[in-house]
Amino acid sequence: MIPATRPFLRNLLPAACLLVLLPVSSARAHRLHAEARVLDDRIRAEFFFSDGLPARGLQVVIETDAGPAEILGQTDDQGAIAFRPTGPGPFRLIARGAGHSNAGRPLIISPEMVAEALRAAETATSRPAAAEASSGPEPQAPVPGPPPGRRPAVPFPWREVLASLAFVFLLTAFTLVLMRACAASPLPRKDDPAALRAEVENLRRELEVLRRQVGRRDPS
Amino acid sequence: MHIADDILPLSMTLPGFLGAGLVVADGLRRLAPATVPRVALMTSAFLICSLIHVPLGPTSVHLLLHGMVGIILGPLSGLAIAVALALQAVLIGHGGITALGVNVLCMTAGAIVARTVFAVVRGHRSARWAFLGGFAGATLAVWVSALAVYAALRIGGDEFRGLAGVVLLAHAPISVIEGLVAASAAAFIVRVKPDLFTVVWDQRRTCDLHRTLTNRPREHSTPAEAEA
Repeated sequence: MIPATRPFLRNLLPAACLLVLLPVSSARAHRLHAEARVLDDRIRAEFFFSDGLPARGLQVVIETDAGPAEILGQTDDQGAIAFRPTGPGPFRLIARGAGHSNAGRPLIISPEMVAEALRAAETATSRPAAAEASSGPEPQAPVPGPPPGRRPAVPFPWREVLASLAFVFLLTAFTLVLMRACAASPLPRKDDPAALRAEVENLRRELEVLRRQVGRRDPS
Repeated sequence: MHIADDILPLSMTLPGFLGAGLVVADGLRRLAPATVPRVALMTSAFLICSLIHVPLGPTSVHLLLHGMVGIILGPLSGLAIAVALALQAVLIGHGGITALGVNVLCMTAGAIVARTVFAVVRGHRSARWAFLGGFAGATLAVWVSALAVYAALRIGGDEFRGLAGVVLLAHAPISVIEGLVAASAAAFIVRVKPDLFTVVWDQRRTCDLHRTLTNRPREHSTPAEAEA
């Protein structure tokens, strides 16, 4: 690839490749973990990766047995989100982001934890002055209440369905056509007679060039 | 690069599985026994590569290596990518099970583009051309896959439309790094084992299962296989 007459370049390229690898962090998995604890009258859920790094900016959805899922908010820089429960629980928290999700193993907020937060809220209400003094930052979003009795009818998303089908069809067709084209014209093997003939021809040309160079330097 | 669960609508995930099934079936029918170790090797390389993260500003990116998979495996790359993505989703929660079909399509499209570019450049001629073909192919592969993911998020994920642009931009630097890695690997392979680019696939497209069912003997696709 790099001519032997350029040892500087020959040494520079591996060094450049190593430089690229310098900031590589240790291998880590993408599995998303979650923990929850009661903080005053709120429940604080923390999302983090296997290596302990906080999962920032994930969208968190809360589900109850009674009602539909609702968006709770986004995790902060510590990968945390806090909310004040109003129902009895249990709740399931699902965090989602590009490539990361704990949808298969949602964080369960048990009724006991909810009850503890509710008790703390009642205490804070009965002693407003004390509660005001000890209150932390405001919760990011309230827990959804009981499910609405009758939701308005949503029109069927024909446009989205057709666009999805067209996208998948085009992507599949594009891939299959290129795959067939690749399969129809495989790269020649090194022991292929045509490839060998071409290599011999190249070597002959190089030999001819070398002979000319030698002839120029030593005419006798 | 991969899309998680609960982002894409059912109208995209179900046809996605169908499309990925077609791509995998096409690869399976071309798979010859001599190529199985090569497919397994590239599958494991693709799987492991996603575990190594390079910090990049507020986020981190990782090598994809699907361009290299495409250059080496050609029309069989769908097989390797499908297995690796399924393992990533199950073992390390990277990418979703329901979005597996769309993810396989997005990555295989990039891989096969890399192979096409490498073949057009005729990268197998020499190390210099292999470097050029590998760099162009792998860089383009990242962009094709990133564009496919961007389009999928724009079309299907209502709440993630803003994120689609971030995903696309985050892969601008990784495409260059990916291109350099693939180019260096391709140039090295051309020097030490150039036949690695020549995938032994069955051009008659009849798999072993089909032969067994129809009680036909194996037809050797290359003279070397016939001698062996």
